[in-house]
Amino acid sequence: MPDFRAYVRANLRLQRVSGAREAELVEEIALDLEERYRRLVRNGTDPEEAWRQIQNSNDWPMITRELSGALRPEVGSDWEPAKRFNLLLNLLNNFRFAARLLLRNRGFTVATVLTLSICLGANLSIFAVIDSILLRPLPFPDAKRLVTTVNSYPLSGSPHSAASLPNYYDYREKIKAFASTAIITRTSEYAIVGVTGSPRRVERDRVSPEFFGTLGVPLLLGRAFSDDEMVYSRSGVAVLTYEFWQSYFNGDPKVVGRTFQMDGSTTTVAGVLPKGFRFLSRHTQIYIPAASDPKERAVDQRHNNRFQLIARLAPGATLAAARTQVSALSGAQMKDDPFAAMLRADGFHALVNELHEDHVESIKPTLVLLQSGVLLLLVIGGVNVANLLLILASSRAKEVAIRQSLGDSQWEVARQALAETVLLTLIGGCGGLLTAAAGIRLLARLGVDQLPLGESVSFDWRTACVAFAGAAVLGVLIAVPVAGFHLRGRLVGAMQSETRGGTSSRSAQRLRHGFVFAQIALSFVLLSGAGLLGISLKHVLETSPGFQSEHLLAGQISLPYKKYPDPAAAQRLIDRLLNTLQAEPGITSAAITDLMPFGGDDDNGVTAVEGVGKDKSGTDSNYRNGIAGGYWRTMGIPLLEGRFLDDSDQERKRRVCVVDRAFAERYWPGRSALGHRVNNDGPIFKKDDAFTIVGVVAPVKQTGIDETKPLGTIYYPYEYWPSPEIAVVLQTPLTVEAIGPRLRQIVLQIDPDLPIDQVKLLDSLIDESMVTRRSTTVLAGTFATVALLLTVIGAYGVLSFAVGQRRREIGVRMAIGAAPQQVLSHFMTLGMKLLWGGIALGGLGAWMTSQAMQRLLFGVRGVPLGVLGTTVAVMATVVLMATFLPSYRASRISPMEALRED
Amino acid sequence: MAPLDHARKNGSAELLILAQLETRSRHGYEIASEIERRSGGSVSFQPASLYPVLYRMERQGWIAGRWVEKQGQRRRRYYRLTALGRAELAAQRSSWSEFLTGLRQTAGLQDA
Repeated sequence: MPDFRAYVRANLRLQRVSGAREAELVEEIALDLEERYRRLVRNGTDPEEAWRQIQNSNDWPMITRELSGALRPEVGSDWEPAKRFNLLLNLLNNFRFAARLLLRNRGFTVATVLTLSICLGANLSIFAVIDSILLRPLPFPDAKRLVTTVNSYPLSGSPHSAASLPNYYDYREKIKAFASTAIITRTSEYAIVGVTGSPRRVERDRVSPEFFGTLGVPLLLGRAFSDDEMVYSRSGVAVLTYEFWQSYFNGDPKVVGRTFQMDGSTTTVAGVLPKGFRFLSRHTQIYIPAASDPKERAVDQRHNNRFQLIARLAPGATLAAARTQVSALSGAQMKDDPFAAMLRADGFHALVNELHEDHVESIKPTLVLLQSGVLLLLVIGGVNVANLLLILASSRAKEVAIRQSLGDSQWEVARQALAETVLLTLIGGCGGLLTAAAGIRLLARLGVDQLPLGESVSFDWRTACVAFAGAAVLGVLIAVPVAGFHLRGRLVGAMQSETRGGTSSRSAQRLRHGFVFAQIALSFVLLSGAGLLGISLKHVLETSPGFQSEHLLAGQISLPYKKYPDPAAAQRLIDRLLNTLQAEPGITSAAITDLMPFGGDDDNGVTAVEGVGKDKSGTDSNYRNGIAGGYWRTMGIPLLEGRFLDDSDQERKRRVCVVDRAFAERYWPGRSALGHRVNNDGPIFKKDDAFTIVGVVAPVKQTGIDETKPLGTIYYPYEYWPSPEIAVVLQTPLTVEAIGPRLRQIVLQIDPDLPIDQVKLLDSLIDESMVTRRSTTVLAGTFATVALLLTVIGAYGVLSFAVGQRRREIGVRMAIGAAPQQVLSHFMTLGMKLLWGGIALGGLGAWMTSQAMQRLLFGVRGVPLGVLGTTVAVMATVVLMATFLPSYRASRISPMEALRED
Repeated sequence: MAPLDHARKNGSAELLILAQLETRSRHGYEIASEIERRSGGSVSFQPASLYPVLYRMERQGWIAGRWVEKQGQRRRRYYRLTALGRAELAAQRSSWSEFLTGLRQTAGLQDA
């Protein structure tokens, strides 16, 4: 005979009850249990089984709670706490009871907490990215008032260009809505610093004097530039970042006025920026004045868009006012613009955008898509948890009914349900934080740092607050159906079901089925969305960049102006370099280019073509590439017509060029481009400076594999299209590790002040260009998989529960002649109904999603049948599997056992 | 509060218990098994639902509990109906009958 007294004493935890009273209670309940045990044994139950049944029939947390309530002193007695305090106590009680409930149903708790941790964690990870990139203001004072102006030529294929030097001088003077206006070079340049023999390249930007002031950043030491320093003769000054000051000058406090060698010229330190200063996503270490001569500020340079223009709105001025003023000014300037007709044809207008928004514009759709994806996942997870809670609630209907019969108000029942769900989601929120911490690390591996402002992505108190707020809201939302279920349940029905093994109410059943239906539909949307991204990525991966990226390696060199002031000097260096490289064992071929595909440069502009007006297609910009050495052979770009450029062109100073097929077909569709002539400076054709096309090559992708409209490229001999920023391209079977140091050595042998860096395989450059697409697909795939899993769990859980609830009914049916197949098909039909309904709704959602995603897809329109078919097949397979198991179990129910259970 | 409302809100547990104590005093387990027996098994009380109601009723003065030692038996706590309890039983009976009559008439229930 078990020791009932010990059993009761171990489980009953009453507070505020005297020892004697408690002993009496223990005694009384123990006796009761003992009597029940004896009766079971008398009726033929095995003693062990009887003891098990007794243990299972006792809900100790509830007994404790109910007894505490019953023994509570009357309101108004001496030690009744204040009402407010009482409410707090009640809440504490609710949570304590909820905690016991969760501890008791460990399997349930683990399943739901895991689900919530994963779903909340995924949301938090993506939210941390969105928060860092889209939501958090830029790290400048009153950053909302910072704007940027952009020259836009939508009809010439360049809707978002940049700004020019004349723009800066004009706006600075004439736009009253701008308190201050500044410019910075459009893309960072590289400067060479360090000593002879071990020089290094560092990022450098040219800025106007008000640049730091416009951003609202005071210098740590020294001063910003003055207007006097905006001419070349006086521009030998620099403002250093804190980090460069620390590393190069060891943080010398007297650094202002000191000089250092940059690009072979002596430069004086004017000031030092505060720690951590950074403009948007740049890695600039040195700022120098954006010096110019009067020619560069002339009217015909207004659309030479080499700068990014930023401005701070004047106090009281609005963005709209700034737009009106800038638009009016650019309209007025058309009167004296030598290119007015062409600008009108290009649809030119000047945009004024918020600086932050403008910077992150490109990544916004992807982030919004990802956040929508994880939100769907959270909904699916939340529905799963709600469903599991509803199932749990059904088995507790009796308990709740008794509580109500004992005087618990509706509010008290609802409050208890709320305490349970909120406690659960808050634990899930903690798990979510851990998951998100891991998620952020995963995102870093997926290349989130390459997004605009991506390096600032972090996990901080803001994210943690969102986690807990989100978890609490989710808890409240999930509590609604659970509380509703409890409050709608009928008292007598529920109390009677204690003995009758009753089935759950129809509305509760409908709710649970509705949840599974919704889950199937939502998972379908996620799955097909991931499929679309997958197909799209597959298309991208299958698309050739237009050159043989295998065994191709490139390194970057910056030629300082002082040493290489003219193209001839640069050409001499290039010739020596190429000769040495070609003689080097392990290098198959070598070339020089100023426009490395996938190198981050997308310099393009207007080319004048003899006898041709504005391009009919609306695009008249194209890439220009100055090359030397066997460029096309090295890159593996095939010749389609005519010939390549060669050394004799250079020796004889022939003004010849090669174009790609995209360019040739734009101007001479169906005809040969050979023999036609183009100009390389500006939109007006000048016969004397013309270049004759001698060859046509295959087009290459310049900025990304997913480029759909090739701009076209003209290749000039380097001397005629010189640039201080060049890339060395090598065809070599050697690895980067093997060739990199050798390449550096060779360059230093030729010029000990010339560093080469960013030595990389072209394959890895291509890979980097796909990082957003690849990561989005990987993430969407992961979310879809989790969603699928949750749906399976949901469908399985609901079906299993339905079978369990209806055991008795199934038993009766089978006892009166229903065949197992009929039972099987009954439950399978239920599963199928949910499946096909969910798929129909999900199909609609998938189509809508594909429309919304169109901008992010490559080579995919609508929802391809393949994606749709696969999604349906996957969905059907897993849901049917999840349905089959419980259905099969139902068909194996033995009528005798099912009936005997009552 | 109208008797009908009162009866519905508090449920039938108190009425059931009071009724078992009308003729003689009983201990907790006996009350539960008597209810189960008389209802033909359709209503049963587990300790969780029984004792809290008993203690509440005792506190309200409807029933009184007392530990009794009978010969050859263990010491048990017996509950008996107080005068207040008897009045309450009468009141609850009438309000429940009223309620059930109303229920029969409006919901078309049939007598068992």
